[in-house]
Amino acid sequence: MPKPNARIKIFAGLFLIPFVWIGWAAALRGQSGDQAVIASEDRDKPCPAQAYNQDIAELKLSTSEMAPEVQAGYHMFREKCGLCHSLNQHPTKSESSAQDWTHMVNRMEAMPSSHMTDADAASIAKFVIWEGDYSNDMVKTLMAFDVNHDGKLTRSEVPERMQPIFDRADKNKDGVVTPDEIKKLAEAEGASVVVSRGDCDPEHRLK
Amino acid sequence: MRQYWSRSLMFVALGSGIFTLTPKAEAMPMYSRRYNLKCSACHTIAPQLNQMGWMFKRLGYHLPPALMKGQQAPSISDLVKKEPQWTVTDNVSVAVADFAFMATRNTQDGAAPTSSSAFQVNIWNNYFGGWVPDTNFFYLAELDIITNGSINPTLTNAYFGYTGGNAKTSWYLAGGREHLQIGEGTRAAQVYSLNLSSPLMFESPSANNFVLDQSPVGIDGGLTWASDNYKNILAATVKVTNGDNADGSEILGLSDKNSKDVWFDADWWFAPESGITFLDYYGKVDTIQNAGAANQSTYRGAIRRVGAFANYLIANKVDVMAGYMLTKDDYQPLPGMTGSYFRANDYYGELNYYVNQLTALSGRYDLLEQRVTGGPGAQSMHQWSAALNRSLVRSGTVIGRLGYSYLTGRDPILQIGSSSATYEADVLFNF
Repeated sequence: MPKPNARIKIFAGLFLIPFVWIGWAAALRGQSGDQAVIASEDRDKPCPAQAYNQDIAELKLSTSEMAPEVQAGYHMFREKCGLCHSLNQHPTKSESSAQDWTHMVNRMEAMPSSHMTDADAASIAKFVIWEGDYSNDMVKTLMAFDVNHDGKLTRSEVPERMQPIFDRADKNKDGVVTPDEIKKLAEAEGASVVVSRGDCDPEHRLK
Repeated sequence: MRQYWSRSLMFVALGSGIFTLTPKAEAMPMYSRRYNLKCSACHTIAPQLNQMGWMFKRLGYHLPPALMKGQQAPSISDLVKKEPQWTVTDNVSVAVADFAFMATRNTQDGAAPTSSSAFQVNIWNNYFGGWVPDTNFFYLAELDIITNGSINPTLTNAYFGYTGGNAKTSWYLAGGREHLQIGEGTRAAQVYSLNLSSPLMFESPSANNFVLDQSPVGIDGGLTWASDNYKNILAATVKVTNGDNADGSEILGLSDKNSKDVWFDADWWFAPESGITFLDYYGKVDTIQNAGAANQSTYRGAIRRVGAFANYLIANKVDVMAGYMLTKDDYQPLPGMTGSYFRANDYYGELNYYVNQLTALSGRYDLLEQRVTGGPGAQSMHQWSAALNRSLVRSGTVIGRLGYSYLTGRDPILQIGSSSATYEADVLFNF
């Protein structure tokens, strides 16, 4: 017959086993959620303003189409910004230009608990600028041909069937098309709806 | 001798752990809803506040804005204008609850060991807090319905205040019943802990049955100054409160004890998330002597606490914390015995390791060295604590915890040795 002290330990141990198991199951579920990419049709749905968006399986972007510095920024975003935000809570729609995004990241750096250095902020800015630009379907489609990952398209990188689009996007006729130019073309021609996960955010978030 | 026994039993009660196993407050998820942010925006792991959460309180429950170099800090009124529309759901939380399994084993000199275990609803708290729309006024009410597994509705917090200035240099005044929270100070000075209990020095009753962690009625005011990017924050706070009754409960109304207790706190946060806090408490507390006898009398002794606390966060992963508190209380073991005292030197050291944003391992050692006039000399109490905290959802609103605590030592009056081992597994819901 175990002593009372031993009985408590045995009982507590038996009780803790399922608890630990549940915790790990929840943890594993969270990890598998990380790997899931939300289907585009779901991403277009408006989010309820007061929902716990942050509990939705966190978006994970494919890094294969990112330049190395953007990939580094993406991981930095998850590490630093993930403390308060998830990609489900993409920053607001008010930011559009690279300058706006950079300013916003710098503002976040200036918040308490940001744990960001200037280098971290610069890296994150590269990602959010990229992500902001690439949230447009047409941009994503065309920039997939950016084989040298320099963030721009040259005529030689684009297949012949898409060169008319290239020409229309290249407004300044410098032979190079940027994501911003593609986005402007898409908005002007209505060829693609601008997909903004920031639309999920209520008007006042993160201003 | 009767007094000796009653106080000795009080210390033994501390040994049994009954004073030490309830977290003092939980996360208040209505704020998370207001800004659509994760709990970890303001907490390391709820309820322990990080620098942003602490600033959020200092600014009258408004989110600290960016303080960029060369830019003018927005006024508190500007912050109010940027708040989202006031809604009930962003100001009320009615389901902050802790479900726990707890097993304890207690020993005491001259008595048979006892063991107990229970599944219980450990805590159920409701919160109503936020700001008065379009004004700088703020408020917080906390109704604790279940505490330590017992239904005992208590309005632990009920205060109203005003914040002025700007985000860089602000001040506030508040009044009402306010949980002392040991200065709401830097991390090492908070009663919020990742372990099963707060550091012993905050919870331990003195020979006069005074406990520093309390929720008295009073007024308080504070000044806060933050540098660019919150690299440094300096703050000072003063509170004047009613203090405690002889039985250790807070004085909520009229009382024979006309003197007021004064508490002062100074904090220095320095990036990232490290800080130093100094606190001083001076007051008086009544002690009933020869209770029930014809010669029953009341002794009103002075209480003095001086504490220093510090933490240093290494690589945003390891938080090293330490605290010291000096106790210098008047104490009469027998009526009319002047010049006697209760003295204590209390220490703790704690290490929190944040495995990732969702998981933390924590360990702490507490040492209390206590003595009374006419007693057997300095007696020690030791406590070892360890805990694993994990947020079970990304928002941080559901937290699982496994904890262990072992307390042992002798009381300073009769030298009765006691020990208490506690195992706890709980799930904390913040909705």
